[in-house]
Amino acid sequence: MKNRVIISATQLLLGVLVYLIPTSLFAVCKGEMKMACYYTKQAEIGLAIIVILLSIASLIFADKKIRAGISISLSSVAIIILLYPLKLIGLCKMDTMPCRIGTLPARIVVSFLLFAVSAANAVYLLKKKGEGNE
Amino acid sequence: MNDKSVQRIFLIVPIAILSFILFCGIVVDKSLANGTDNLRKRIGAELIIVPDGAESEAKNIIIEGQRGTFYFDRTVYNTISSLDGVADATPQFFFKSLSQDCCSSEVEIVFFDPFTDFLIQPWINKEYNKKLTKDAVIAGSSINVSDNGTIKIFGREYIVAAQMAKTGTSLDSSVYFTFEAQETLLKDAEGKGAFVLDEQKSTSVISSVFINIEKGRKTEDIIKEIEAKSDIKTDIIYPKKLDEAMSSSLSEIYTALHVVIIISVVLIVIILFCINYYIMSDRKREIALYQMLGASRVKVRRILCKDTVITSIAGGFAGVIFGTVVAIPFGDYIGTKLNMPYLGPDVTGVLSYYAVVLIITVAVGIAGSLYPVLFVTNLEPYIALRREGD
Repeated sequence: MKNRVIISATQLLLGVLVYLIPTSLFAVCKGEMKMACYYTKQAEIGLAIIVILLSIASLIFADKKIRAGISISLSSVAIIILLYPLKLIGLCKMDTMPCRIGTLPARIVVSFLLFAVSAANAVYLLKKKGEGNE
Repeated sequence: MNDKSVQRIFLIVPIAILSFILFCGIVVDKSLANGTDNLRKRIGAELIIVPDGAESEAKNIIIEGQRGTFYFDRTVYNTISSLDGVADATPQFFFKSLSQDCCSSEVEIVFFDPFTDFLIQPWINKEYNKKLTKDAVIAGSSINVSDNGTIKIFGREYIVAAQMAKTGTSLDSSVYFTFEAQETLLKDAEGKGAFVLDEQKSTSVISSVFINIEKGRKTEDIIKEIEAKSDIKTDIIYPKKLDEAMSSSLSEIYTALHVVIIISVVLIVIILFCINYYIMSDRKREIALYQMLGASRVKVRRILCKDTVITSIAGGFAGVIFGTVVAIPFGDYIGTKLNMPYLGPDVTGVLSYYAVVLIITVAVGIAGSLYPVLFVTNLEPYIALRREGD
């Protein structure tokens, strides 16, 4: 129970951060022209919603296997959070732009934490002896 | 989770926090020093002559690598370069503009004379074996060069002849053109709707003259000569004096940083001492049993110290990894917020900081456990085995 609450709350908090980073904490470039960073932000808002919903599901379900599955999905989402700005969509081209100096590092920290917490939790739950609920 | 794992976590967490603070502190400290040092070398001139009244705007060249829009007649350069005692003199013309291919970012355009230049070309990092003609440029390290080795400015493509080394300042987002390209570029800028001042349109104006003085000659004498021979009023910037001012604001940042680090080390040693004392008191019967079974004091101490070293390395490693994830990507952000030149470390630098931080965390771990270990192992086994109240 303790593990379920702590881990799910951490994942939920990280999900909220995934939403807040490009929109307000380290907002991407603001301007009339919609650049790559704008589309990355939109895509990541979608990912943040997925992280938040999965964390709530992880809090509701007591079954260890279901929660391990959710953690595996969350660690995959953490990788995609970084792939959007780095490979799939991209950011502004200049190294000095706000999306590169602020938003990207913050995303790196949050996705690293989300991946580490979720992957460690999945391993812990799958290795833990005994079937069923926690 | 058993008691031992919980105890280990209680030891690892403060060590990881210490290691995180130390690593981030060292990275920020060294990056600021590298950035300032690099900018100092890059300015490379003993005097900068700028138009009258442009002194404060021009000081940004030295502090942040940022250029302004100020101009005077080129005759100032002609007068200065012909003076006896001037070893090197080179003119530059500054023009700020919004980039054409990236969202609202400012590109600093600099026109320079490649034949007299001693400021730009020594800092070329990558050369593309292209001649520096009027269709070619030298790009700052932050400028995004296309795959075919060109950049587009005001609708015209320019070949990138070379790219500069990183400074961690606005110099990195500069594009350097020869004076030959000035007329075409300003026409293109006007054509694309960029705001061009009337004085910028003239090809007979420049923004500054960078000077080096011959060895053995007094700076004051040269300044007097410049003032006497030039008809145009000028301001003089002394990079050395500004460098001193920058060093003093840097030393304030360093003091704050070092105070935080020292307080953290002291607090963590105290916390570790308390935790270790509690753990050792909890384990004193177990330790007494080892001794009764024939283990010598030295052997028991060695086992306990090994445990401390392993815990310190684990905590230290966790801290530096998290520190790397935070401090390295946030480098440019920290530099921008501090308004100081900031040049992050390379891989070798990061690895050497890892080693330093791990050595310090192991030392702190040992310092925090030394007294509790000695105290428990010095107890006579029959006293250690006695229960409280016996």
